[in-house]
Amino acid sequence: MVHYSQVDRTFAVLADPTRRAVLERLGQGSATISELAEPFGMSLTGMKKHVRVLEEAQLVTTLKVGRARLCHLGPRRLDDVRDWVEIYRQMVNDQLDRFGDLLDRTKGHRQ
Amino acid sequence: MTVDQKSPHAVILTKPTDLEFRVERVFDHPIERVWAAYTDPELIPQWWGDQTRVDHMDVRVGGTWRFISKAGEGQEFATVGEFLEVTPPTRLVQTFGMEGPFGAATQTIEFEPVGRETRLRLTSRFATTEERDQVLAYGAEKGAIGGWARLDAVLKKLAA
Repeated sequence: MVHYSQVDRTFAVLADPTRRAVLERLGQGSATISELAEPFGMSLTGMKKHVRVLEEAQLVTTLKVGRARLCHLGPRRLDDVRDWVEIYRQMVNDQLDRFGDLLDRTKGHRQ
Repeated sequence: MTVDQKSPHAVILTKPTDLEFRVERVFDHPIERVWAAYTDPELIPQWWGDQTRVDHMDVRVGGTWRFISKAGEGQEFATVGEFLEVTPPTRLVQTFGMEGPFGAATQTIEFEPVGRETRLRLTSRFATTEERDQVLAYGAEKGAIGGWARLDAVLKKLAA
């Protein structure tokens, strides 16, 4: 079994719907923590935690401006997976690969 | 997206309408074999993934099915549905849903001969676009738990 710790970590970061929504929001332009928190009805502390997780994954960078912290998209690009379809496709692809392998293995047997 | 296009048997995923997504793949086997394998409860655990076992699977109109799978940390979840149309070896229509957060989709599975090969086409239709997109996103999250090897190709692009 191969381990994909980086893969797992990135997906763990992206698996949270709030964090995905934050990335989508930042795709439209920079925002402060309070601007990000407001539409979710979330506390500043709660949003800060999400932003810190995104920052550690290099999906977001932040800049302190006076008393506020301005967030924008980080160096890692998300273009390829923006609507999540490709990841889903990969998952189905793996499942149907296994189905294809099964057909190959049982070739010649009567079904 | 160019991942896997070199493979002649890669999965193609499209969104034919606002309420649907469709998955297509060709298998290098005759249609009867593909149908028989696809509808055999004893074979499901060998290809479905997630350590899935079949609680029951009654392939006839009005019959129901229930699969029990394991998420990454071992917690079990069930996928359930009812067969609405069973026309061997060309067409299977069923409801398909999670026991839990999502409304059931209607999944139409068409088997079509392409020379000696068979094209499998699965079209999932949802009540709303939001539900469809939620299921796609949930699939992506499931990918996070399972750590499928092929996801690595996608994520290498992210890291580039």
